[in-house]
Amino acid sequence: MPTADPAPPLAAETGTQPLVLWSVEGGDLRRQLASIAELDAVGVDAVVLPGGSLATADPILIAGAASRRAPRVGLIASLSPWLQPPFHTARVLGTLDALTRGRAGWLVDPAPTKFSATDDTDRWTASGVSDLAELDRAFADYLAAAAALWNSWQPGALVADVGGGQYVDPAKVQVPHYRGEFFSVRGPLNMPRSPQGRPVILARWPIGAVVNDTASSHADVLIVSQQADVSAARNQTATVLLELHGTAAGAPPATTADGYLISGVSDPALYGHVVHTVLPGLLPPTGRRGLLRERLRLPADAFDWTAPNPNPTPNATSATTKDLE
Amino acid sequence: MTADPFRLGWFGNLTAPEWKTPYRGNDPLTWFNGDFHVDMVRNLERAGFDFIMLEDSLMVPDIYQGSAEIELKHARYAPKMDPVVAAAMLARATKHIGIIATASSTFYHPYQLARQFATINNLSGGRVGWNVVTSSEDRAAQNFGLEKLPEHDLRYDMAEEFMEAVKGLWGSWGEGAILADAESGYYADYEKVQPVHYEGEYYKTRGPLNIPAGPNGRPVICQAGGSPRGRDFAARHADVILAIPNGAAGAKEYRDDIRRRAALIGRNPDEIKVFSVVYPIVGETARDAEEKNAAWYARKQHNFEVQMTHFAATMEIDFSPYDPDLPIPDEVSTNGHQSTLEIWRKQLAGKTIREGFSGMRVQTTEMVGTPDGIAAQMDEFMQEVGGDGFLIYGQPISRQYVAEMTDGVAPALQRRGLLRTGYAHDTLLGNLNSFN
Ligand SMILES: Cc1cc2nc3c(=O)[nH]c(=O)nc-3n(C[C@H](O)[C@H](O)[C@H](O)COP(=O)(O)O)c2cc1C
Repeated sequence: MPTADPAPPLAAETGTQPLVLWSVEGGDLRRQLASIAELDAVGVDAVVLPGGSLATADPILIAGAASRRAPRVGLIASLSPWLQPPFHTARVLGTLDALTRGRAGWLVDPAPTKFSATDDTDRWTASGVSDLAELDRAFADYLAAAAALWNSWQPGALVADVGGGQYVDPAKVQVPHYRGEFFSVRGPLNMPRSPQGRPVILARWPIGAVVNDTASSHADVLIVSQQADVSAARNQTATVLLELHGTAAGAPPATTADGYLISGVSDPALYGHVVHTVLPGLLPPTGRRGLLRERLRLPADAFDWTAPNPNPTPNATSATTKDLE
Repeated sequence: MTADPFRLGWFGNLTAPEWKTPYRGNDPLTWFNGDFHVDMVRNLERAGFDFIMLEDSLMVPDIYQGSAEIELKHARYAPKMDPVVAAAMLARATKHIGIIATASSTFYHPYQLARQFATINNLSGGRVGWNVVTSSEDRAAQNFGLEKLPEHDLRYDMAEEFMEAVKGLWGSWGEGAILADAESGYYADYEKVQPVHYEGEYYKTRGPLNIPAGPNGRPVICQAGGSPRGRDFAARHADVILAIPNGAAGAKEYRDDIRRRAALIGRNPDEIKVFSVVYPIVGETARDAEEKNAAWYARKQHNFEVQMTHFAATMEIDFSPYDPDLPIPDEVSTNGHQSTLEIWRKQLAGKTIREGFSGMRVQTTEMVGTPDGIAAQMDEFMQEVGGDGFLIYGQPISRQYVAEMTDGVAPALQRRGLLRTGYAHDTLLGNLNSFN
């Protein structure tokens, strides 16, 4: 019996081709930047820039530095919430999203911090906190604070009306006055809504022993490490990626996930094989374009503007005549 | 006689460009994508600027009239994107020019800041600087879970500690710590990477940093303190100082004072470069320049509103309750840029609030003329002051203003032998110190 050609790894139709994300790890910064540009050229959907280990630079800055010579690829920074307050995180991710015309992502990493970062104020910090339930509550609070900031400028707030002499419509900028159990942020953010509305949020799943934790219930994209977890992860979110570590990336298995996160490929021979032989079989020849959230097939309404503060206090800044009309 | 060569720096920020000029193009709404700033910094590099300084603040000011309306009308302080992320991008879009980003010691933690600037120092091959500010607004504090900003001098006490912690972290990777030795299989030498165990009154950080500090072992330090505390801090730590003294005589006094403070603590004063802020108004002819200058001052209501946003943002002073047709009342004070308020008070002496503020421009001295005329005025100023540089402030920035400086004034200075024509060193620190 003649053997049929082996089936292509997955359907060739563009819409259902697997997503491919790549974790760019450690080592020399210039090599990392060169690698991001190369993965961009090959058409990888997004690179993930890790943030936590010894000798990793700040991933948000690597993303910023890479953004010009890698003009298409999504740039996902792995940021621990415990290293900086929500205002900084909301602002740096908003800035990255703007500078990349909508290609920013945030791999949330709310694991207990290895860093000791305290000051003399009585603000809560995660330093020394190992109670996972407390950290999870704090992370939910942190995300809510960031979301309030990302929603503090309505779409269309920028008018640049030369005739009227008005750059921003102040009625479309709201003061969230966010006060949570752990974090409080007055706001508004000092920049408008970024192209995606907010960065795409990714998380690994499952995380530790906490079931239904904040990260996985808020993420747009979940990353699992085995096929057996795909269907459970799908109950949480629309887009699921299967992580292929090291040599596994040399021969991607069939999967019911939406695509792969390739990690741990540092050996030069394996890197060359995956980039030049495996990826061309997985990716559309010209790569995908546009907003990262569109490329990751995320529902647009998950990024819609919502009022940052449903019960604004009467003396809020934005209570201008326009608001009162 | 001419002055010795000096330097140019550029006052920049991630804010809206001049959005009303007929030459605005598409920039008013598209500048968020970074193109405007990338084009600008490449032009500055072509012209021989030592650095661009990216100013920053962390709030939408809503003090004037108790509302953000006038601020958002003119967009001077907001919207404003993060300068540190932008600095990483701008560093990779250039090869020689220094990129100085502002970050507040009051709202960062030493570890996070040390890591961010070490990252860009590595990415840029040693071309990054940190403009150390302590912030000046309770509104910013409220974005970071605090009700009020610490008091002015306490902020400098905290900044001293902050600096010590950051320098400790930058030093936590000893020389030669990175081996990248394929044979032994060791990337870094653990004996050369040491914890810091910093414990001060205000900050605690264990360290080590998770990345070496990069070329020169640290980024360049920039500061703009004007008060006695600010000046001491600058004299102790800064490589670059930004100032708006009053005229050439004021600039000489300021520079001499900084150099004296540095010498007192055993620093070589030549290691510090003081940049005076100027806002040259340039025309193709002297008359053209005079007309532009007169037109600038003629926009009285515009200038008045802009100054109101300025005081609201940097000093959280709301002038709206005061009679604009009387002088600034004595009771007005600030926990923000203290020394700056005193300078303005002196300069406006006698004038009413309306009159004074509608005719106020941020500058050490007025410079108006053709490109060559400006070069001559800079020459004369520098002969009196003794050296270092100018910080060009043309807010809000337009592509046209950039061109007037980079393709008009800078070449005129180069023809006079007053401005660098290339970069002899790879790092910002190297170039700053390539001549005294
Ligand atoms: C040219 C220049 C740039 C400055 N940039 C900033 C800035 O970006 N952010 C900020 O909070 N303060 C900035 N400042 C304020 C100074 O850091 C300082 O607070 C001010 O000059 C008053 O001095 P003092 O702190 O010693 O009272 C700047 C000042 C000058 C002169």
